[in-house]
Amino acid sequence: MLNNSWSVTDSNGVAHTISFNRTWTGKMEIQVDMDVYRVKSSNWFINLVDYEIMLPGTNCHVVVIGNKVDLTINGVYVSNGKPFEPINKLPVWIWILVGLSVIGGFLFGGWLCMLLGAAVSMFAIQLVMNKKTGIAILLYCIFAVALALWFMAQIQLRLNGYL
Amino acid sequence: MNQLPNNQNPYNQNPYNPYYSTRAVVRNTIPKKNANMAVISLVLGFFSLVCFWALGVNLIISIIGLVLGIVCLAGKYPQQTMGIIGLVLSVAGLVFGIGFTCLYIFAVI
Repeated sequence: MLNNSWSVTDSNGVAHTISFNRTWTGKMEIQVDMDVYRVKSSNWFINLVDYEIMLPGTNCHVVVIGNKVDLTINGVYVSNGKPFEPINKLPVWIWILVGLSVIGGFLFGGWLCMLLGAAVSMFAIQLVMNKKTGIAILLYCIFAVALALWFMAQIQLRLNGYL
Repeated sequence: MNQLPNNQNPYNQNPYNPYYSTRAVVRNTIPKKNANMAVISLVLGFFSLVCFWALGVNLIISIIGLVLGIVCLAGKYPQQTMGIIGLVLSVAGLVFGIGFTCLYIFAVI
């Protein structure tokens, strides 16, 4: 079970507790003070959550990308102080690359490569959110080359009778 | 039950106001109808073309891509252009796959 908890003070000086809970079954919840809200991932490949929490005078976002959970307060990430980029503003091509790496990983390399593709995607989304698009594309290129080499090695081994 | 008057923000008010609330408002910022279907249709369409030589795999992924493309277009999901491209690629992959399967069967017989 994964739990993250933060304490936020609104403009009236009232302290609020925001927590994000995830069970082993994948069920996700956001708890604001005593109220519990059920959360669902917005992406079919990786966990992707961006829920806005409006407190008096304070705007918070609970952002989940893969296994990474973070909170933003008034447009700034709590963990590293970087500015918040809304997830729905991300370009569409990144989602195409996420799909290509996850489905391609499964088709050409099996479950292990699918998980590797999801991990690469998680990292690439964070890079794109930090405006490091070139590095994200480079990462996908390296993954594609590695997957192609893995697939060709498997074919060679099968043709030579080792598998 | 007390109702908030129209055009009145529950926040930025006097705490002694009876309508004042300190409860948080929580909402999902990612639209429910997002581009998931169109993206998956496009990706499956692409792989159905790439894997046209793989007999069973091609059939499965092109049919799934085709269905998702149709659902994306029928359900007025965003990124309709991508859905159309996915649909076209899936149909092309299916046609190539069936053609290749027929050729393979003829060659074996």
